[in-house]
Amino acid sequence: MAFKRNRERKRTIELVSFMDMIFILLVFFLVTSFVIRTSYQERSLYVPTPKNTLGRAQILIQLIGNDRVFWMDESASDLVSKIEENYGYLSPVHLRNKILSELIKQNSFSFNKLGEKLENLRTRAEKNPSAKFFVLIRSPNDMPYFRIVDIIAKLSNTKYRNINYGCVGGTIAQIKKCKRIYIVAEKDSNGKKRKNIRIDF
Amino acid sequence: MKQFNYKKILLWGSVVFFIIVILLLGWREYAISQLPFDDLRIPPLGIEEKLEIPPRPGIQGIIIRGPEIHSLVFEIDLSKPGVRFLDWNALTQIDPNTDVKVSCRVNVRGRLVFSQADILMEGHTEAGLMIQRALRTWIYRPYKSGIIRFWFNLPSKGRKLIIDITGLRRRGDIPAYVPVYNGKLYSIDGIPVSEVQVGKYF
Repeated sequence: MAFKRNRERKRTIELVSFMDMIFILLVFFLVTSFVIRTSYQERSLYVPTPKNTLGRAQILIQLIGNDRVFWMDESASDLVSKIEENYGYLSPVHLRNKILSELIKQNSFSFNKLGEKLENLRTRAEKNPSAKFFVLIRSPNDMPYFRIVDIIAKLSNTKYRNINYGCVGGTIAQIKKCKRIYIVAEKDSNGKKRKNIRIDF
Repeated sequence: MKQFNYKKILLWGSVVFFIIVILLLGWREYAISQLPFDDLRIPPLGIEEKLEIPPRPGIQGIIIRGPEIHSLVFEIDLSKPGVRFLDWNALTQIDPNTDVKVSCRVNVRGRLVFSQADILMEGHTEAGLMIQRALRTWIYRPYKSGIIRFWFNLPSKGRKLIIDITGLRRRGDIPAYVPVYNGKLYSIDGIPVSEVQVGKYF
């Protein structure tokens, strides 16, 4: 039996496939190079991000529960300074607790009364078109969204659009456990010295 | 049919591929060189990039705008009944060489308190008594208390009345952020402002 001679076949390269591969590589590198160029162009774009600053407001509305809110405006300043004067001998923690318990006791009310307060604010804003008001709304994450929408609807329904508002997540427990609550004297944008309340978390 | 030369094609293909790679690497280097220095570092692979969420305003603290702070002025409260003026012209007529020193204490109610021992009026008794009578009626707004000293020195060529207020201290229960300024510290009729000095003299 004669064995078939295993002849070595001549090896060749398929030129078409080879060129295909070269062009695919060429296209790949060109595309990735353009990605670098695009990011270089995008680098000059300014993307504003929130600044790491204290939230400033004239009025703080803290939603407590389903039917309670805590309202703090400039009238709270006198109460805080009075407690600071009368109970200055307390430790910082006890002083904080005293201030907050008094504030919450005197300035917590139902949503119905909040409606009245917001109505008064709206009247004030409409009587004084040049005045600017900023309301900070703090709400726990589990608060029904319609509560916040309701407040925003009342705030935005002003004639001169001079009530601005901002929403931020937060609970009354966080305020109660704040590092410190105290009076600071600061100059406002008009150069008037004001007795502001500062809450450090 | 012409046979492909395997070695020749491989050689040329490698050369072409090498040239393309060199060109692309060159282009990449050029693109990177256009980037700012800070962006040149390419993060190593495998390390997960973490984006820091920027804190929102109101997370780390809140400032509620309070009422305007009105400054207080420590001065003679002319609205109080009984506050009398010292007649400067009468004083100069009685004793043109008046040299009287009075050291008083302003109490927490703003009244001037002093005794005979606090008055130095040697040789100028009449003028001294006139000054005393007026000083006893003066009431200050109760924002400061402590020692206040008056030196009536009529023969001087400069200031004829010097008021030393270095011993006055603002009331303790006035918060530190409320400024207390000094207003008109004397109730004297007929004295030119240029002849009064408020400050330290002893």
